Amino acid sequence: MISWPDFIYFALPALGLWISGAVMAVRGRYRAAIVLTVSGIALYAAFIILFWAGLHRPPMRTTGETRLWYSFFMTLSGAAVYARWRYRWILPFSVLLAAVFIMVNLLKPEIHDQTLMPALQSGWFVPHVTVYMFSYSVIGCAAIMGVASLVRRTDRYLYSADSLMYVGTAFLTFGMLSGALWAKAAWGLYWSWDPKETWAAVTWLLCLMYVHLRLVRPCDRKVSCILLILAFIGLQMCWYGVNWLPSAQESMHVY
Amino acid sequence: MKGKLGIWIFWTGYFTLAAVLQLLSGDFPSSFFEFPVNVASLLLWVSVIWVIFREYPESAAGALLASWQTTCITLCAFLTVCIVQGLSPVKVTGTWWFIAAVFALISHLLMVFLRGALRPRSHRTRFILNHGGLLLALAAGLFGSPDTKEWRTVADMLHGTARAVDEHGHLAGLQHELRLEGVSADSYSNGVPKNYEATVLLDSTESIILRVNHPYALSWRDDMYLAGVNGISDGETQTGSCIIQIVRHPWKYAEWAGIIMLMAGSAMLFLSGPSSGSTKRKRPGCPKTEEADL
Repeated sequence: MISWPDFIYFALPALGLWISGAVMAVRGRYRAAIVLTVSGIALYAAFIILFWAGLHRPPMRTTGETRLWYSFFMTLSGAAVYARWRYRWILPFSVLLAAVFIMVNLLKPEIHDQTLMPALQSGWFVPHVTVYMFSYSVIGCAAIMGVASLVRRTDRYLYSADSLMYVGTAFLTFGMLSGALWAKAAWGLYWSWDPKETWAAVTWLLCLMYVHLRLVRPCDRKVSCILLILAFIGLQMCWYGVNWLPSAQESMHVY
Repeated sequence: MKGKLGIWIFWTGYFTLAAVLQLLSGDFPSSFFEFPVNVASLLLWVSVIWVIFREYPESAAGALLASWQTTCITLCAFLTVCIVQGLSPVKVTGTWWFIAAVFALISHLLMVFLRGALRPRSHRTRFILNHGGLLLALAAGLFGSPDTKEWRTVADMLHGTARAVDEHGHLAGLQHELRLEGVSADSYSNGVPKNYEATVLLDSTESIILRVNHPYALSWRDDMYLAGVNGISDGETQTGSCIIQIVRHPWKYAEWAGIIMLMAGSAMLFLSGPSSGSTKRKRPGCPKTEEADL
């Protein structure tokens, strides 16, 4: 049965495939880049599935386990963006982001036991976490577009960022609201301004500001790019940064 | 007031007033707005904005509430108070400036919603679901907050209890008597609880089972939750106690409707994507538009 110590045997080959795919993308070899990247994603997905079966619970409880999902969705989103818009540089950046979180998981392994506290035993657990992680990865890709647009001084990438932000914001909204429905069943209120909830609202507001700014002021390139980057920083705060704040001591979301 | 400067002056004055009120009188007196004052305030607020929208759309108030500058100011103000709350270890949601930020946002949202929902536009259904859902959820949260109460009590097997402690530590009488009939708990090998549930006798007549994530509806506005169990070892026992949380949340239906509308709107946002007429087409010269087409 697959357990956490086996992660390295899946993660490093997957990372190797992703890096090879990114190199192929930079060299303009589209088909090879897609095949290599998708192979890496399949290998990584195989670990997640087998690890899930071995744990007898969804691997979504600890921050380390959410990093696992983020790396998976980050490369998936990067591959989707590359397949859709053929930006050669998106794969290296998305793989770099995924690699950072894989390395953190390898260098700072957390306890991955089978325990799942009663509050997490809900039908909302899996959709809430996976939808959030997917939205984080899509917004991560949009932030890369924002940085590219800022550095290259062109709004060309912002049209792709718009599509990504609509997807990211839609999933972020669903993730946040599924959390609210779950919170009502578990704690009695849809929203209680817990630090995690508050930072989710901050991230969501930044996404909404970007969407509205692009509708009304589509030529405010710099402000749009800054909002994309701030939204990415906001989601990092919501995801794990909140654990380092003094307010986290009162949080019901610390894990 | 129609000019940008007037809008900025108004909102600066508005938030300064909120800050001054906070300094002078402390937190917002939410208990004053308990039912029926909150319902009357809600109706008055909707009526005022409706009259401005229908009868005086070109007035200073109409221009102020519908402007793009107000969108920016109210979103930034709400973002700021959220960041302050996110960084603060204490709750600031009862302060004048926090409530002022939420009220400004929903007032603008109501004006924008009326304008967008009652005239032909692209993605109208998506607009109504997203803006209407957010408006409903936020307004129900704000106006319903004074009516939302929480109590906790400990139920044991020896005596029935009809008293509970509210969030301020005050003792209050319950409309029901609760007595614990039995508890069962299951743990993992490392001692972490796996499942626990409590069987509670309600008013000496009805036996109900409480579990985490499965509240029991005491009435249309009150729900009962299992917050914890005490003195339990592995397997079923005949001793122990449980902590019961009772939440009075009469505005939950409006909040739920807002959440569901917003979820449907987000699904449409995903399916239809950016408007082809706005973001995908490059606009040379960046024309300034005073009225936001949100």
